[in-house]
Amino acid sequence: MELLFNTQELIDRIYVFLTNLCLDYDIPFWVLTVVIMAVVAGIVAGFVAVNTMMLVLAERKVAAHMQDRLGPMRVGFHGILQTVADAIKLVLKENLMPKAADRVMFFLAPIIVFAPAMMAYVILPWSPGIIVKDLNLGVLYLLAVGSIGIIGIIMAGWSSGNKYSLLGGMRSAAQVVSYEVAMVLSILGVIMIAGSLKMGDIVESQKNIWYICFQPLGFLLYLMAATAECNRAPFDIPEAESELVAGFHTEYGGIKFAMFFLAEYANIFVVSAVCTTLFLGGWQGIPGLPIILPPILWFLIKTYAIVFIFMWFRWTYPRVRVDQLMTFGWKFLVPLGFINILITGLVMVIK
Amino acid sequence: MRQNIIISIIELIRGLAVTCWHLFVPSVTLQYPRQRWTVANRYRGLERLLLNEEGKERCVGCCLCARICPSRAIKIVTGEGEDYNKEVISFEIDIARCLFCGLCVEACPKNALTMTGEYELACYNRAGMIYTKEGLYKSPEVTKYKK
Repeated sequence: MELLFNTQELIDRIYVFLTNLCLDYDIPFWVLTVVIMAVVAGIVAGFVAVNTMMLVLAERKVAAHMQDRLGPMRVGFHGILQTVADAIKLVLKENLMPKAADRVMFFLAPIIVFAPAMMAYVILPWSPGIIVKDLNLGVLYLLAVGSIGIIGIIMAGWSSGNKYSLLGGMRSAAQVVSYEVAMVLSILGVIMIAGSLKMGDIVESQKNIWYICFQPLGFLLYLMAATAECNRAPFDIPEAESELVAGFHTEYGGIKFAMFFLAEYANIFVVSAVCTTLFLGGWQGIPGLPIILPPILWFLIKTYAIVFIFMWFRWTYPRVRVDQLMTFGWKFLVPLGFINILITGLVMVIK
Repeated sequence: MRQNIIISIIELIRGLAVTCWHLFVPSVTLQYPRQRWTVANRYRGLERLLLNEEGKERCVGCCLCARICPSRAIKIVTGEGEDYNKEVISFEIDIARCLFCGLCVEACPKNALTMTGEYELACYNRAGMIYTKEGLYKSPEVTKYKK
């Protein structure tokens, strides 16, 4: 129980135990490294799958209750197994390939969308010590990896051989490129205060006060830019059901569609977790209060609260037009981001 | 311009408040196969033929219902009975054609026809849509679903 709170020690003990095991039985160390890597990758992949199923159900339930409905109710207690049933259905579906499709690209696109979403999990600080790899350039890595997914989306749009899909892919590219700028600007303020790009350091430096108190504007800007980054309503023009059928994944079905879905919800979780880390103190409890919950629970509670905010946005606001989206991004978010950096810098210099 | 921005921000927050409030409003969904809708007394569902107090058929085969039916769903064959009376040999309603207007019930001079609250009329073939005298004198079966 104690170890749940002091996860750093837990990880250290496991590592020491494994190292001793290697020494006792004369196993070379690279075997240990490979095994640890495989186990960690397995845990992350399992978490992504389970988390996606949970989030899809949560999304449907939230949507339903916001519209005075009940949502899925038939499969399991209050429909908790609904997404499992959906996943099984998707996996068992026939793998269709349109005639006009570019076969290689069509096949690769879902993988290229899904891989970066998984890669971002490397730098999420769950709890002290529980982080796949605390990179020195954590935030930069996140931003870099986050924009790879867009290539997959353009590939999906292009290779489907469908005009709607192509339009969806192009719109998505335009959107993500514009909102990437706003997102970087909103994060910059935090990095300036923390003085580090390392996720662990950023969390550590929020021991006394969360950065949302210093950066309320940055937090709001991040929320808006992140919504657009995940291609979620009200900025979901890449897939805009009513205009573009389903945008870039119109032609996809079965397990390939499931990959896009997984990537989407994995991205939402990453974006929320990063928001938690940068603005809400990560795994730290509320400053000044005694520690009641283990850090990992704090992290998950805050992250799912942010996820709920994204869902709330989606079921409240109507979709914006393409030109409105661009205007909003370039003429509103980016200048505000610069103002935020300016103020942060001024305050830091004066201090 | 500045006022517009302020108003729009207020409206955005109000929108969020509305959806948040609706999270706690009880839902209006009827879990259909498990929960049933109690129909109103005057609901026009499947037609039914009635018996009189002595347990005999009220219908005298006047064919007024068949005549007034806008979609010609009712087909009546009359003939001579045992004691040389007019007798209804067959009385068929094609539910697939019926539009549940209730004109047949109003037209009936003997109050032999009525409409029930039965609304689950789906069946596997067209022949099942034709209700004969036997079906129309019985009260309709209630479909049971597994939970």
